[in-house]
Amino acid sequence: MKVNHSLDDLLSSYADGELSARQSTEVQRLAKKNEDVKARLQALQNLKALVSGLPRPEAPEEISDQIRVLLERRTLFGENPDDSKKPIHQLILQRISASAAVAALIAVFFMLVYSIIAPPRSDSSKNIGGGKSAPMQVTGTQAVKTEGLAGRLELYCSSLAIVDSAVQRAVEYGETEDYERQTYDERRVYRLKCSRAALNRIVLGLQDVWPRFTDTRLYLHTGSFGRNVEVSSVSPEQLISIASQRYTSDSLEIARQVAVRNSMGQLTSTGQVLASLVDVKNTVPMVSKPMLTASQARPEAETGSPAGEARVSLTIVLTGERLPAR
Amino acid sequence: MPRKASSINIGDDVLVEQFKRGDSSAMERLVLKYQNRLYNVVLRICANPDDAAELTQETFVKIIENVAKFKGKSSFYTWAFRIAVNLTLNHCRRRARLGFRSIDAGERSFGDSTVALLKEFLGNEKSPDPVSVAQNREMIDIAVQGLMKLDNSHRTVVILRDIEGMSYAQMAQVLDVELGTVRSRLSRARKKLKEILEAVLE
Repeated sequence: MKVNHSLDDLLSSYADGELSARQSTEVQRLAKKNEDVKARLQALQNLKALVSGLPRPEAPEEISDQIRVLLERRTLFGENPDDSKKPIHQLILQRISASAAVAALIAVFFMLVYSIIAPPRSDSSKNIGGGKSAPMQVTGTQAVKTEGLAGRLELYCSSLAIVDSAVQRAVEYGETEDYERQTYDERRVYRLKCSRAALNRIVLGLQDVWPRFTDTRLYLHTGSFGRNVEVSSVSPEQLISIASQRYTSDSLEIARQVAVRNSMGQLTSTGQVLASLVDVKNTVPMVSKPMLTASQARPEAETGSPAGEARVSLTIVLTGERLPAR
Repeated sequence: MPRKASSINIGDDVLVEQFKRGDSSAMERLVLKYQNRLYNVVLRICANPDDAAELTQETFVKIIENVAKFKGKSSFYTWAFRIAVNLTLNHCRRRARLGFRSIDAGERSFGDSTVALLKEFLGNEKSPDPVSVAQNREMIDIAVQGLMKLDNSHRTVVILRDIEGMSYAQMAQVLDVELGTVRSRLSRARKKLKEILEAVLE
């Protein structure tokens, strides 16, 4: 049988063209002389033809697609073929870090997208009730979208409970369509979204309780990031005057003038104005009287006017604490 | 089109070096060049298109992961097929342990024309046209079933030679065996395959 095996190997190799020239000549000579060898050789060639005639389907496209994704990922993560030399734990750590980096990038991307497409928030002073009052900041995008006034009114008092109920009544009297009230230890926060006319009504409702406030401060958003108009010791009349302007820019201008005037008044009352004048060497600008409109006297008349329909987004912070040092 | 022609003629070794230096497109070219050939070999060894696709993909993943270790002692071609064959044979062994049967190897009857064609291929008269196999679904089934009845090592050598068209030297590198082993193994595999197919006619 060993001889037969050897002949089979020889014939198989001959059919494959894997014999040397001398071996091939030998097989050809054998096949010519021996019919059995010739038949076996032909049968081998037929069998080869049968197998090689099997169809050759193309590889699914997903293979190259998946490999392309893998290659792109390696390029993205800066992996290179030498990574295979690193210990497995190092590779795992590297891949986890890379995944975390990608996740962080995606999160930042969605935050950016959200900041662009998200509707403006009714109140951008989230931290008011929780901590000490800080100037509120609003982005230009928010200010533009508001198309009205946005800001914060800080009211300080010693008898929080009494004043709070008065403020609550005033807000309800103002028929504010959208407001919420939050209670903190020594603070009450009212977040309002209303028309300017409604704001006028609220302020009128507060007139009786206004003397109880130890201090009042108004912060108006200008639309420039981090820049607010701060009006200290604001009166109800001034508030109405600011809120009653037809255009936001006018309201802000009035607020600035009122702020300067009130500051000057404080300096004069404390005797500091002289020092200020000396410091600036007579360069203190002349401040004109605020352009108080007729609405100051008759705020109700503004209801239904274009200015009255403009939107106001105001957070009233009622604080029973001592006035913070300035 | 001289540019395309020149890009096609870039040798595997050059593409491997380019990939090692960070050029992903070089590996993409290697994938495009070999994916069908690898897929066909894997498919004929494991006889399952889904498994074959997965194993082919896994082969390329291993190639990419281990290309730094490839020092060029063998050709990229035989190295890639060695990975593919090893993965596929491991897969076959796993399936065998789990009791899977890759194809329906049960008894079935075939049409007269198929039986006649098979007789021609197994006879010692002049070889019939191999195209007739591809056109006859039943003949394909018979040939595939016959291959699957071979043991893994015999099936692999037949496929590497008659489907992929490798030389004995290349097969020896892929299978990591001596050249003489390839010669004798292939001879025995063909003899066994002929016996299996002849049994279909009985």
